[in-house]
Amino acid sequence: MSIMSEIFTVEGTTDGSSATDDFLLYSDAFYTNAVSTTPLYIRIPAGTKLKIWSRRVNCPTQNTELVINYTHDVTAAVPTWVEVNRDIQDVSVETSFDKEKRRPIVLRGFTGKEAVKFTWNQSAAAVAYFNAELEFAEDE
Amino acid sequence: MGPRVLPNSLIIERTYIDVRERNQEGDIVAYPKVTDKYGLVENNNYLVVFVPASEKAIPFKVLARQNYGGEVLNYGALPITASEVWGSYDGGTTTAPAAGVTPGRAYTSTAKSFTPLSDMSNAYDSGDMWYLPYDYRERLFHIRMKVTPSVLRCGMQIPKGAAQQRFQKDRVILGVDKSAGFERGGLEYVQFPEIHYGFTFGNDTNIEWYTNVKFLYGEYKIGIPADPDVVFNVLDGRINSHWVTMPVSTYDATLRVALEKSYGFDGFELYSPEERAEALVAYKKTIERAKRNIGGDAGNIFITKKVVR
Repeated sequence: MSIMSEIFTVEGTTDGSSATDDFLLYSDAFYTNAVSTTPLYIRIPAGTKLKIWSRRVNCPTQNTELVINYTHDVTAAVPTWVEVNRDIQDVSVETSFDKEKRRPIVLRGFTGKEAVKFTWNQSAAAVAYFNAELEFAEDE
Repeated sequence: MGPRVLPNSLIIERTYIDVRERNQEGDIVAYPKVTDKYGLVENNNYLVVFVPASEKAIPFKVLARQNYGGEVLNYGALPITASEVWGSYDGGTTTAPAAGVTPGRAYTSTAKSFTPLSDMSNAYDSGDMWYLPYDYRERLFHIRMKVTPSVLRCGMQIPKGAAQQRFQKDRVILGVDKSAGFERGGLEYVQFPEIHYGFTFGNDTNIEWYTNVKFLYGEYKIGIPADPDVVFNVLDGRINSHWVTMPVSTYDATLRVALEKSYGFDGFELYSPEERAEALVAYKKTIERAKRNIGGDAGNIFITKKVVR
């Protein structure tokens, strides 16, 4: 029996004082009793894929970029993060964006040390809100 | 109802059939579906439980599903207590941050049981809600356990305490704490009487997850066919059935004793089609011995009337 498929939502907020940083991730499925335990990244188990189905960013005052970063070894002293996707919210055009593609961004767990994190870049620091819908999936 | 030969115009329909193949004449043959939307066996169909370690199977006829329309049991969180010690995939141990929450990068150190929910406290065993004694032998739980988050590793111990996943015979013991020997997100199994199962879980992500368990289950009133012909036809696939292979690679005596005590035997050996005559003789002996072993009215677990399908 393989029933390995389930979508969950993660949410994050910029701190309003840094023009760039990584989102702390919250979710109804994550247990968090202190900021220090809130994950900055999500590790991808070996043999599974993390699918990113949608991204939403809302910042009414500043241009905000949402960057998805991936590493093959999050256990390294200094992990090497590689950008795999960048979305830009341009406030001159829109105060929020909502991207939901028919095909997700797929990130693989080859050894179990892979991880993904979400980073913001802003023209000037401002509070912005982000969420994404993720799914762990396992190949048959 | 036996297999039906379908006209080609019907073969794309999937509403009521789940098995299709071509017979010797090349016609598409469809068998009646034996499971429902939950993957549970419909009334008046067969459930075959196979135990790899003994290479034996027991065909159960589902006479009726007691909980029809009530197959979903939302159990709630996994039975994890706050500060419970788990093994760590990164070495050493770690603790659960709260009740029902998995620590990150960790696996259960000891197998778990599901105690009855507070509003089901009259269940037979106060420590294991699925446990049944041998005199409930005419009942069988067929369980599909779904765990949230579905990325969690799930494993079983039969009996509780006996890890069952192996590599190269008994050289390597596998499980949720190893690279293999688990399923993610849930398990399908049949709860035999007289035996406690243990459940293990692992979380190889870094996330501390809130957890939830949903059981899709059937409480079947069952019988075992007493007609060797029927037994052979079910095990040989001539009569459609749903097979559940139990994750039992080491035949712990506890399981054998539980099966003998409950059913009077521990299963039928499998034969190939050309060994039909030999199989029928062996099955007849097994059934007679099993009835004697159970004795009295309990022998009614065997369906004595020939089942015509």
